Amino acid sequence: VKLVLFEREATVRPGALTETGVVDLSGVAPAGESPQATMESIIDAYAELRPRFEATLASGRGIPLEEIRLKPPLPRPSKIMCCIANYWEHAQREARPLNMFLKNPDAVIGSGDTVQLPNFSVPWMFMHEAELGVVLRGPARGVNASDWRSAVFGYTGMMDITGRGEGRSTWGRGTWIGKSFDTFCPLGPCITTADEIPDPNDLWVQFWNDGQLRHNYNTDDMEHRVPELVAFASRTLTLRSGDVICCGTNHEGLGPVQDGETLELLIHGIGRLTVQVEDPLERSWERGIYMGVDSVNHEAVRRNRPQNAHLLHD
Amino acid sequence: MLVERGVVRLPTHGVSPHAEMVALIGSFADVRAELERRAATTEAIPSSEVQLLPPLPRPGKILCSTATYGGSAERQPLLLTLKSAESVIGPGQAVQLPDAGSEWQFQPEAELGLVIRGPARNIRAEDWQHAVFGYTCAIDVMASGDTQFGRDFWLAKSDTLGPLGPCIVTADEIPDPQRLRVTSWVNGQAAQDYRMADADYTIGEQIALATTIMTLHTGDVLACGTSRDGLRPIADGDDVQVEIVGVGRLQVRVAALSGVRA
Repeated sequence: VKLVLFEREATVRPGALTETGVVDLSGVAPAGESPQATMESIIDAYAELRPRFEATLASGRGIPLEEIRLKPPLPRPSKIMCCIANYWEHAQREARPLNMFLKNPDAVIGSGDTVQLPNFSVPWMFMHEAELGVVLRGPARGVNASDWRSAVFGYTGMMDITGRGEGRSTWGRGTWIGKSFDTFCPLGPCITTADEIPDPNDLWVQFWNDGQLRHNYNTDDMEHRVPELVAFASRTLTLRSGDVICCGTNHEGLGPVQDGETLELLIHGIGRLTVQVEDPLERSWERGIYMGVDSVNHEAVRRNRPQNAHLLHD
Repeated sequence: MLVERGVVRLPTHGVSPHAEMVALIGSFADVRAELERRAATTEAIPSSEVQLLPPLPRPGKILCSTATYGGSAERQPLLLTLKSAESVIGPGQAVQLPDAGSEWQFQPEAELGLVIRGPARNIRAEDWQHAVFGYTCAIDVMASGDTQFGRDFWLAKSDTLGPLGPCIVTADEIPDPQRLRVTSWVNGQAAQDYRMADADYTIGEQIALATTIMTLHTGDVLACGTSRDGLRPIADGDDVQVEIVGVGRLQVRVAALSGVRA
């Protein structure tokens, strides 16, 4: 089931995304004190709710997407835990040590919303990172990697929008605060329940900026795979239902985001997340995959290297 | 309410403890006269008969500033890092140190905690008081051992490494927080002792940066950084106390967390 939250007649309701539109599940799901609490209750009671959802899906008619507004499926997680690096990116080396940071949980926006670049010019550029999000079921602490499925409810898409300091290093070195500006966490469009995804380390992630393909990778390239991520995070923090672990990105497709652009993330088998970008300062950068200091797009670096590059050094 | 006689109970609304406090902050201007009447007239429960809990058990956000106090080092750019609500514990509870390996040390940083009244966005430094409801003592237990990829900041986000309390002192009781003095002890021995006036970045500058990056909401906490002097590592069985005169004294224990290796 592809669970969503959507707005209709000024209320936010739970639903399921189908080929014909969104089926309203508000009649068969518990209503929480907030949309986030509603989704958390669904996660907690899913085993019991699932037959009711499936019956509703079998008989219910989908509301066309044009008639509703999708909301982020988890509008306000208690924690968004993000992997640092975590993709091989064709490098020949040992795996780097796994590490994570926390992203501002108030920064979540949903499909159809707008990333607002800040009126703040210390970061020199803002970039997209396309990531798989693992939606958790808790409370869970000290989970063994072999038991990872006990703490995983489903999967979603996430754009880790990032302010850069120098080159492609995140502004606020060590603190990762350059990733926590308001609206810098587009999430969605849905939570695909775990039963639909046999292996989260075999998912195809694609990302377009104004139709230009940027990220295009498979999650089998992760240095530390989903079972290890769940174990790692739960050694430090109690994982709660509705928390998200974002698996990091393959940086080979990094590029700038700027005023007026449309960003699209497609994780095959999960769904398509689309957001706009607005910049009050209307900054502009060269469009395309980032080729500056520290670019890790090896193929593009080769392609763009001057023909006489070997004469330019020494 | 903490009063000299003990603790005065206030009516509740049947929501979570954190939501109760957020509602109280939101309605404070309206209920203040009634609270003052109760403080003066209602019977208090002796402090010995209650267990204080953290005044904000699950803040939406806890931001820790990199501001420092009284150092001679060159001023570094001001930054912020997020801790998780899982880090919060209250007076008398135990900081559980993760088993991260012998190369790691954990040091309790005594900090002034700003309790936010929001939503606060793009607040200018000189207007910082608009975003501050009150003050509490914050202990930012920080990890040191390896800074690669911010590993130190990640370990410092562990469950229980962010004690708060004992209370929220409303802003009207602290005319100028830049005049506060922050003192800490480990097992009764003096550790940190610094003055907020010796800040490399003022409270206003910290609020301005935080609200340039993100909207702060009611019940969020901004911990104002600490002095590098007097920090000392803690271990199983230690007793940590932080005092900010006018705000309160926060005491916690230290336990080593066995069986969960970070």
